[in-house]
Amino acid sequence: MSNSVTPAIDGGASVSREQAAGAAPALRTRALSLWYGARRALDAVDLDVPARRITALIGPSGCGKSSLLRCLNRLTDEIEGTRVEGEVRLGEADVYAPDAFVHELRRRVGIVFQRPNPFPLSIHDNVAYGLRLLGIRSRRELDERVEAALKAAALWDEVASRLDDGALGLSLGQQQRLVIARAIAVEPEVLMLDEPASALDPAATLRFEELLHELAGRYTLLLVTHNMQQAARVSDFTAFMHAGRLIEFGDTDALFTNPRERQTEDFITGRYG
Amino acid sequence: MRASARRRYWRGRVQRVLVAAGASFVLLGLFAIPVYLAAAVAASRAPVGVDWAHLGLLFAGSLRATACAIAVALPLGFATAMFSAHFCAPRLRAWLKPALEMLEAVPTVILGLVAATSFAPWLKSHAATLLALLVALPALLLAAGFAFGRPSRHDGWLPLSVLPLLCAIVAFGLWLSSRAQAPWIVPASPWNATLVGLALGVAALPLVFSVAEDALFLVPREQTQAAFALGATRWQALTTVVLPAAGAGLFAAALLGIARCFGETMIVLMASGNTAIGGFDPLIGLRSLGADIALGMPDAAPASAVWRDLLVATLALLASTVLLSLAAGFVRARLRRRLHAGAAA
Repeated sequence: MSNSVTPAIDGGASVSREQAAGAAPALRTRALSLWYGARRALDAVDLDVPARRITALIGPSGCGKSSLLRCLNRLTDEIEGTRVEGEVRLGEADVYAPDAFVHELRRRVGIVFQRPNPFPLSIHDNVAYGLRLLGIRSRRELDERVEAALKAAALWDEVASRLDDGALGLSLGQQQRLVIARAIAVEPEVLMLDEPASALDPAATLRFEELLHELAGRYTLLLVTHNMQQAARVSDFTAFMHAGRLIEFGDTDALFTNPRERQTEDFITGRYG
Repeated sequence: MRASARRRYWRGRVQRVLVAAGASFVLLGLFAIPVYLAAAVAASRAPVGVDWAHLGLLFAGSLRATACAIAVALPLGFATAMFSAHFCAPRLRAWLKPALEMLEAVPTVILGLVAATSFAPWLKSHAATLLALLVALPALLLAAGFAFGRPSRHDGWLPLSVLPLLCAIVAFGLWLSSRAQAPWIVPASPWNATLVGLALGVAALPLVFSVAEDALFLVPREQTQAAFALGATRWQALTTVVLPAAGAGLFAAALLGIARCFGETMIVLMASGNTAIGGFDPLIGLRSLGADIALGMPDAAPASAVWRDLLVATLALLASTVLLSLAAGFVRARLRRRLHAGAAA
């Protein structure tokens, strides 16, 4: 299914895909469970996110896709009453180790939210924000890395002449790419995107998906989407979640053409969700 | 059917006028008070001119009391607001904020009484202790934070564990000062600007806290989330995102706090000694505009020079507080518009 839509990524991907499956995953969860108070949002999720690939998370609303993302960089810490059990490993690092530096961890696992949320600062200062947190003060270094991040996010050509303008003046599509530039400026290993295109119009969505392809070779992307066509178009691997459980995970083509589980089939054929 | 429609129409007409009348009474009052005061000043044909020197001393007295009170209310109010809006566990905030705002309802005469009867004698012999505590407390707290302040998931409840530490430091300081009978700093009078500042600062605290907290809490959650997601610590998110966005609100809180202190009468009346002395010394007494009016009005013969001067003082007080409140209201309205525009963009 996705072969016909995205020849660019699938052209020579079959070999490297097998390599990716064999290589160490960028992120690995084992028996990961999450509670909001007494409500269980995630139920023993085992997931290996392949490095430098696009992995899509699909499933009906409220199935725990977004909760899973927030567990992976411990944004759940900021919510009162959450409890996490199980293990998350980022490379070799134990994410929930008592002595883990949460802020350093979050630098390594960036996240982009559904609605673009630039700071009410200039375009330049938005992208430089994370770099300044890291203690980078040199104007030259900041400028270089801001430019590199904006180029990687396919936004440089549109904003190069007005870096000091306010970021809130950009269009929604530009803001979403700015937020991506901001996230990749600090060079994360994993970039998680939580329904990043749902606020965009079709043309901006198309640009956005092209951008995802460009980023895929350099970063491990974990994409939450409620748009199954999008998941099929852009992702290499797909995980289907339902009611807090990971039902099925596999190669996107295989999952969409030949799902192993009945629930997956019902979902992708539109019988519910 | 038509009869009931007509009845509703007529009832609506009357109700509209009644509501409008209520609003117009309030507006009338707002304009009538200064107009009445100005007219009364103009009408009094006292033979001597206004005693501007005395009025200046009163104004300076009010300013000095306000400065001392603000030095207490702003740091405490802002720190509490930052904690409540940005660090606090929601369950703790649910009672912390109402509890602090309830302090607003404590009659100021009670604060004045405590200051004048219990605190004044202590302060007279322990001004040096107070100063030492002011320096030692932050230093010791910083040291404690460095030694034991490992961040934890329960930081939202941190005050509950810091409180005993705070009490212990203060108790130790008081014990030490009771042993060392060497007051280096002796206030000229037990009633002085420092005493006024402490009591008045507590009185202004709930207002400063409440306005500042609202402004900080108004900063969209998506923006603090974005900061966290980029690896900001709580404190970094506060200083780089929340404070710049809500700075104008803190400024408005400060203005309202100043207006509150400037206009407060009862605490100043009871704790300031009411002697019109100029200067900037926080250890001498003062007489404020409000206290002067309260003390002088009962004995002033209508249309006399004293009476007229009191009315001028009243006008000065009214103008100062109204202008401060208007400025604060303007700043807050602009901030709210900006933050909402930012969230909607």
